Amino acid sequence: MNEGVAYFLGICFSGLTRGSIYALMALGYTLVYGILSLINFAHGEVYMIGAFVGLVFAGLGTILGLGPVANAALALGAAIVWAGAYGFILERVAYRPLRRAPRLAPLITAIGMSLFLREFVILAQTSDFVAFPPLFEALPSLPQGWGEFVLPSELLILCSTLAVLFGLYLLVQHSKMGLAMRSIAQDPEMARLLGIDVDKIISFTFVLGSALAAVGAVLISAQIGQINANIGFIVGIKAFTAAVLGGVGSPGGAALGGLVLGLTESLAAGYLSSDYEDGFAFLVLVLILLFRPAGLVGKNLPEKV
Amino acid sequence: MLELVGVKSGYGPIEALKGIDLQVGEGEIVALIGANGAGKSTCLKTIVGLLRPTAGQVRFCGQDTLGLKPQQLVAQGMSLVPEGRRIFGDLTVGENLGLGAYLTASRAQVQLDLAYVFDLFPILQERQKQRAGTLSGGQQQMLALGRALMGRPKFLLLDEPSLGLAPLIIKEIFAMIQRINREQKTTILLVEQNAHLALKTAQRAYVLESGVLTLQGLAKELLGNKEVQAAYLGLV
Ligand SMILES: Nc1ncnc2c1ncn2[C@@H]1O[C@H](COP(=O)(O)OP(=O)(O)OP(=O)(O)O)[C@@H](O)[C@H]1O
Ligand SMILES: [Mg+2]
Repeated sequence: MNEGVAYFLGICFSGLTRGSIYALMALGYTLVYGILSLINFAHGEVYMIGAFVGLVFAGLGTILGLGPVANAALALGAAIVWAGAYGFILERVAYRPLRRAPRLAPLITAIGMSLFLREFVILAQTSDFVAFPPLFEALPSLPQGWGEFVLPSELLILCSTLAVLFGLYLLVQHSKMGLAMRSIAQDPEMARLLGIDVDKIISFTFVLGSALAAVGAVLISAQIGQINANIGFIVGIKAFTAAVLGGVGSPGGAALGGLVLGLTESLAAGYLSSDYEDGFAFLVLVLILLFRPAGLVGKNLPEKV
Repeated sequence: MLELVGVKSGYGPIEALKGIDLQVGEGEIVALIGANGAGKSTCLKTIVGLLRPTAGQVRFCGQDTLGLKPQQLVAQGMSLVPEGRRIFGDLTVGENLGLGAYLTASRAQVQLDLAYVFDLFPILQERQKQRAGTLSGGQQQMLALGRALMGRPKFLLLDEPSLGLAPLIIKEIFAMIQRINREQKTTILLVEQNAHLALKTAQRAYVLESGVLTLQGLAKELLGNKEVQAAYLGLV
């Protein structure tokens, strides 16, 4: 294969891999925003905690002598459950009591929760980077030629993400729970008048978003091989950018926004300089806010306040 | 079916209901009429649990509803079609109706209820896949009614179903309201500014003025009442 083409494809795949994680995270922001018009600023910390839980359980699995598939399943399952529980508690403690408060109040508790969770992990673990157990070692190698531009783990992350996105699409568009979520996004009071337990659906949404964050966290941590207590911050901001890019409140937009942002970063790093990678992410954000404030797929509706 | 005893309610310092006594018997259509801002919507919101009475008692099927949430009262058979219809404009007609059946566990039952609603309002069947926000005002009111019926309520509360609709559509909708009452034995509390229409439709009626009930009686008698004629029917 032509070297230039292989380089380009390699950049695209690493961008899509990274974009997958942004997409999974952005969905958490967007689902919650859609229902509560609230930016859950502690979402990045839920992601970070998911990564740590994955690390602990993957280590445990290794000690117990589990096979690679069982070990990955254990790490993923534990991270999902744990992060889901954090999402549930976060909403109960930090947001629900303030549901009728001025809009600034939940923003402040969100930042407070975010700091608290990060410091908590630093105290309980360490602020240094720790190695994440390799979960993808046992993956079969790819057919001849593919190895020039894509890693098996990248392909796995991309495919898992697409599968999760498809599952989420079915849930939101074709299940009773999804219908209830969409009705609450439009008119929560009317939803209550139809017998929908709005608080329960809101809890479910937080758990769902947190579970998606945990999936992304474990996948990418296993790929990169190390984590620390600060990883949630930068990923959180990037994923928030992706959500805005897609049109905050739109799940399809969040998924698309995540992938587009990952690609953009990767192309910028690959063809310009890796120093500009983060700068490009924010340049994209600024451009979108200037020219398409409603996001890529958002309708240009007046802002919902 | 429903009984209000000395109910006061409002919004913080604003007392919109100043002690209301009202009964609705099983199978009745009762109208509640009054001018703008009289407190009609407040009364309905208090009955369905969106507002908490500051004094007095709301009893539904003999039970005090204090502390029950709207979704619990819906589960017990109440259904409010609020002022302004409040359909979910971004969802399809079919999805709106599906939400009305949120608490119905049996699929077969949902199909039966859907068939009944489509029989009442055939246009909704034609437009099942259409975004509800693109329906005309009259169709939206039909959808709001249909959505409420999907929960098979014992007690239906209607807040100004005639609002903003053309006379012909109003006639059609009110014929359906009477048909629902006749066929399903649904008890109905009907709030209206259009007093003539309400009194023609209901068996009994109450007149609400600035948070106080000033008159009550058989709808026919109120139609002939001088005060009502002067204040609400535009007759002198
Ligand atoms: N959300 C609210 N907050 C504060 N005051 C309110 C609110 N809603 C209604 N009110 C006040 O309560 C009183 C009764 O209002 P309500 O909506 O019950 O009247 P209504 O009889 O339904 O009038 P209309 O025929 O115009 O719908 C009015 O004085 C109104 O200004
Ligand atoms: Mg009203």
